[in-house]
Amino acid sequence: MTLQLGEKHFSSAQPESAARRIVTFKVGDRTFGIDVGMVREIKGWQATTPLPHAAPHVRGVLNLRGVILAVYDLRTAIGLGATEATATHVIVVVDVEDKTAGLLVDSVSDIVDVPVSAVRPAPDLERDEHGLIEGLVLLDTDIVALLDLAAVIRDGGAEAQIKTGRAA
Amino acid sequence: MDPLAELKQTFFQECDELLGALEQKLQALDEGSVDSEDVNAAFRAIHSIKGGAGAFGCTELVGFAHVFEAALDHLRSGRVAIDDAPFTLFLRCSDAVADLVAAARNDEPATERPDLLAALEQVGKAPQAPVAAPPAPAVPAPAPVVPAVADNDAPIGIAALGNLLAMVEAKTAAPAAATTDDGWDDEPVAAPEPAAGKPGRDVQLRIMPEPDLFRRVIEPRVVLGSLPADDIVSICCDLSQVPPLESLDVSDCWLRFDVTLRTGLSVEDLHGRFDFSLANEEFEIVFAEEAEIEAPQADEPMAAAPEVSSAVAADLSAILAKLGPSPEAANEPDIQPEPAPVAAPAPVVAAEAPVSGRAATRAPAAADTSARQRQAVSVRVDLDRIDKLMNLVGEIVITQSMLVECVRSLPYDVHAKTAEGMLTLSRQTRELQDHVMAVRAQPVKAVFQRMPRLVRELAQTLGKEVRLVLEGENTEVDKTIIEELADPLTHMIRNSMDHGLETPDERAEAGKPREGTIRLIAEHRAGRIVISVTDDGRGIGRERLLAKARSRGLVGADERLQPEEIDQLIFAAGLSTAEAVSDISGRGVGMDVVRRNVESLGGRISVDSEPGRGCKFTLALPLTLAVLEGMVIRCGDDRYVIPIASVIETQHLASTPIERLPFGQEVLRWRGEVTPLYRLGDVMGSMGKTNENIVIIAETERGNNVGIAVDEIVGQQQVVVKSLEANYGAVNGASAATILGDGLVALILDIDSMLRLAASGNRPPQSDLKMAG
Repeated sequence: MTLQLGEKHFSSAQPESAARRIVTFKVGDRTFGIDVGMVREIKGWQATTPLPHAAPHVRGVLNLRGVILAVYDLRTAIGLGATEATATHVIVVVDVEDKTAGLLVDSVSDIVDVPVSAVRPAPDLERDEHGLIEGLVLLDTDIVALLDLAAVIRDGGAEAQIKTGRAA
Repeated sequence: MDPLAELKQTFFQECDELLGALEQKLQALDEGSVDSEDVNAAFRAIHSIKGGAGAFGCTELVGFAHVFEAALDHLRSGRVAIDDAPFTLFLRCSDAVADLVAAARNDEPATERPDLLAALEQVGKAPQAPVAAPPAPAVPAPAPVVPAVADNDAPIGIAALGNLLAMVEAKTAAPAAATTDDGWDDEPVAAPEPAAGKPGRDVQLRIMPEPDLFRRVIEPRVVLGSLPADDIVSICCDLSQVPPLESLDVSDCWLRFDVTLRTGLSVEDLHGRFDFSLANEEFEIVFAEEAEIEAPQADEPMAAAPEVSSAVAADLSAILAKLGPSPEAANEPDIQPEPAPVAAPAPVVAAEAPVSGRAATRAPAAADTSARQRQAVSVRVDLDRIDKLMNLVGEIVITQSMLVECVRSLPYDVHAKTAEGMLTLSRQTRELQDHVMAVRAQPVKAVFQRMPRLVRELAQTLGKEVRLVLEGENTEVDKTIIEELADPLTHMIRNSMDHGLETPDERAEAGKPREGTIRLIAEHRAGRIVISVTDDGRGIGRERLLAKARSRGLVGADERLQPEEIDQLIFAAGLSTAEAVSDISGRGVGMDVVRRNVESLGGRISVDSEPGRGCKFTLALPLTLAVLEGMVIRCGDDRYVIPIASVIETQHLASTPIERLPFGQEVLRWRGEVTPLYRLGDVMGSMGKTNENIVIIAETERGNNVGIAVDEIVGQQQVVVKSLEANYGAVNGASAATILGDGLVALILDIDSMLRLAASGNRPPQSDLKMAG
């Protein structure tokens, strides 16, 4: 189950410049979203190779057509424990800064256009100590938390490495 | 990048190659292999550099290259005998050209080398010139006009024929260029004596370049310069095609040249000279007295422009008609593209004349194709593209092994049918991989050719006489390795020159030739590239080295070492025995750094020394860093790859007695030595239950042995190295990753990084228990 989401289908430069096109996905009963432009593709769960002493939400690395990328468990990142990954789980492959990464989520829900004005700044949540939430969007049915992907990934990569004593 | 900058980049790349060739030829000549082809090749190299430099306005480079070229030309024309030629000077000049190219590339101001220029200008002004002309000031002219060399007899007109821009400027500044401006006017240059009085044929050349000449990075000077200067009777520039100034695009070439030559060259030779600069339709060659005097010459292939050859063919047919019929020769012109009707005893029927005419026009076509084939021998490809290809091939290899595993699980009859096809596919993918690797492979020449200069400069600094012998420069190795070779080689050569070789006086005292020899040899051996640096110097001073090692506490005061063991101390950190710390080496950061770098590439370095006789460093490296021979092992649920280069031995863990030191470190006895043991599952945090059966004895960068306990050895295979850092970051314990046959990722272990990981607080749990207990 691979769904290609190339930029050609969803041009990031929308004529109605005041709208953002967002991919929403679920972890448990929560809905998260990221800009469609960051999504490279969506693929089914695939076994990963764990990395030694990596941060808990780093599930490991996998091979995406010859490129090795790390998969981050969003459930762990938001403090809900590790995902029991099954074939129905989904990896959202995203481009963050100059890297490609995978985000393990329960399912992908929708692609929605939201006016920029509907995006509210994230309330200063104490529980979001890593600043993973960039903003909130109110849809008819639920609240979408827009993720700061760089923050999700940052704590898994370089910083964790430094903590485990790379200098030694 | 704009097109011009791109062209400029290409030019600099070519310069590197040309400089390499130039240096190589000069070196060969210096060593006494007298071959006029070498002289020509050296001349051509500097000439091409000059040509390109002119096109890009690298004034200093043009100026220097021109003087250099003129000096080499004396050699080429035989005015200076090869034996008397100052090759040392030429080699230094080629270094200077390299510096100028580097300066131009980096847009830095170039260093002037008036000393070399002056020396170059003396070349050819040997005693035979009775009244030496005063040396022309070698200051580059304001415009990119090449500096005039006063004693350069014939090519003054040619040298002055710069590009159009230069001409316009020269015209406005006529008085300044008074000595050289004969060529600007539309009247022929006065024929230099030697050309007019020479034997040979008069040839009219009409050069009509396409307007895009300049954009092809060719200028008229290059075209005209490819003619032998001595043969030129006159050059006339025809400006009639040049459009009025307001509609003139300065990047178009509208110049036409009429050149009169008196030459012994054949049409073919003349064609050859324009081969690289002009297309066939851009020039005409007319032999004035061709038919009458030079009739026998007609057996040369008429590679000239078709109209010329057909004219000649008509003349020929007239001659042939007189000679009578010959039936059997009727088909010959078709078979032989180079008809030799006059020389052939059998005359051709007059009626066949049109055929021979056609054959003659076919000849240039054939010559053309062969020229094109010659050009197509090498293609410049962006490295990026090759890398992509390489990646793709790596994926195919993985897909293919996935397929093999899939097929195996099919029912037997289906499996049997596909098995053969799968086998062929395996072989073909492997072959494909090898070929793509071969595309990336480069001869070590790219690195080797930097060494002669290093040796020359060092020899001067150190006051030593050194001969560098290069062997196996064409040994090929992957691009990734080439890049890593330069540093260790430089260090090794520096070390040999500084510590190994004695001063000329010392050598003479020891009964050796004053000139020391360093051999740099590359060869393929057992799937690796082995490079050795051998000198015939004094060898390693063992007493001094040992004393130093003892004083540094590297060797115990009463420890006895074998001579070979002492030699290996040269790779220990912080040891240098040079009496005076010099700029070259001697700070003790040489060989240990070399060793560490080499080993981080999966290579080895060793030294053999014979006191008084010399010293040999041997460097063995894998042929590539893109593919690695690895041992696939399993620990718990996870698989890892250990580079075979690190593995010394494997054995059953059960047969090996394990002891525990205080603080819980496990050790085992291996070949009488106490070797630390690490359990891979604990160090790397493998998932699942581990059951270690096997211990792999591996070697660290420092040459220590460690035991690594694993569950199972899965197999040995070539794996494609994939970066973890591209999309993630450095991973402790692993240098990179690879993709195994089932598409899953396996980490490639880095023994040293693993040990650091084990030491950095991630202690194996049972050790902690032990500590607690």
